[in-house]
Amino acid sequence: MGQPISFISTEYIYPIITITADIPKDDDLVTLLIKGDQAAFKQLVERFQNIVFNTCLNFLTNQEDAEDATQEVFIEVFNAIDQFKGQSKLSTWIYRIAVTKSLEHIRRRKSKKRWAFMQSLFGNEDQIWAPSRDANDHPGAMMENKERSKVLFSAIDQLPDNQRVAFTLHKIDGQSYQEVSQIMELSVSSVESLMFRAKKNLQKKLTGYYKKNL
Amino acid sequence: MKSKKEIDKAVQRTLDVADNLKKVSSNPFLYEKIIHSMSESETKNQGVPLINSLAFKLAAFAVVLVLNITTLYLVTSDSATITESSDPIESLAEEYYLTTSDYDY
Repeated sequence: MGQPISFISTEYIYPIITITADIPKDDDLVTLLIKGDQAAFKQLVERFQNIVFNTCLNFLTNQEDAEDATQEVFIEVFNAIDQFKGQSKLSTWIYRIAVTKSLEHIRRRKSKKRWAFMQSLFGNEDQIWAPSRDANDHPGAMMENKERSKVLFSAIDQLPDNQRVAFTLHKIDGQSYQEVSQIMELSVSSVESLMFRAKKNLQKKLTGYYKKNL
Repeated sequence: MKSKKEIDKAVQRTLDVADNLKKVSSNPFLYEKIIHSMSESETKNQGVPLINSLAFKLAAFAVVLVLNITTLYLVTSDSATITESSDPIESLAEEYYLTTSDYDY
């Protein structure tokens, strides 16, 4: 019997091993974070910042708001890491926080709008200053889809929270039903039902819109 | 008025936008911004005046509550004494000098 032939040179294996050893697993990262390790926190931010930012952006459709929400998510992760019991994946737990923070931002935005409307009724328009953020202009939408994207996000804005979360996570964020069910702490069939209702509602709203505006 | 087919097509094209959104890169200085806002909120918390602290609010609430209960107790006990000691019609008559007969004209 001759020597088994290896197609992988040891030269190439060595650096791969070094890289994997440098990247701590989620469990190790959590242990280090509980100890207050700042380097571990930096690694966590670098690992999840694009995921969290894009999830927040898909809910808020505004880059500045999404960045604010992303910061809040990581501060919450840092402060509440000792409450993470490891019953779900770290990413699922972070997604949950991202969804909660995004919904909080949406509620704040809505109450600001309501307050501005009340002020305008009483003629105090001069006292209000609100930045003119185009709330439904998602920066990830392609040029030819900009208008349609605004219409879609305005319609999503009118969905109940749970339908909105299911639709955004599955359809826009690209999560599977299984992942959405873990993030929302619901059964897969409940997520499917939420998605069905969300699509129905959106179709109804969009049909009403295009009947008037096409 | 557009046909149902055209409306359905527009609805479908709008729903399809959700599948074609590009991922956007986050701020490369996000970590620094997070650290900055964390240290900023820490400084704010250190400088919280006594009047804004929860302990102060609870103590103030307790004082107001005790004062209210004491006042209520004192008022109800006073009125109880009056009603027990005299007839209200009699006390009204006394107040308007209706019970006295020694008028000096």
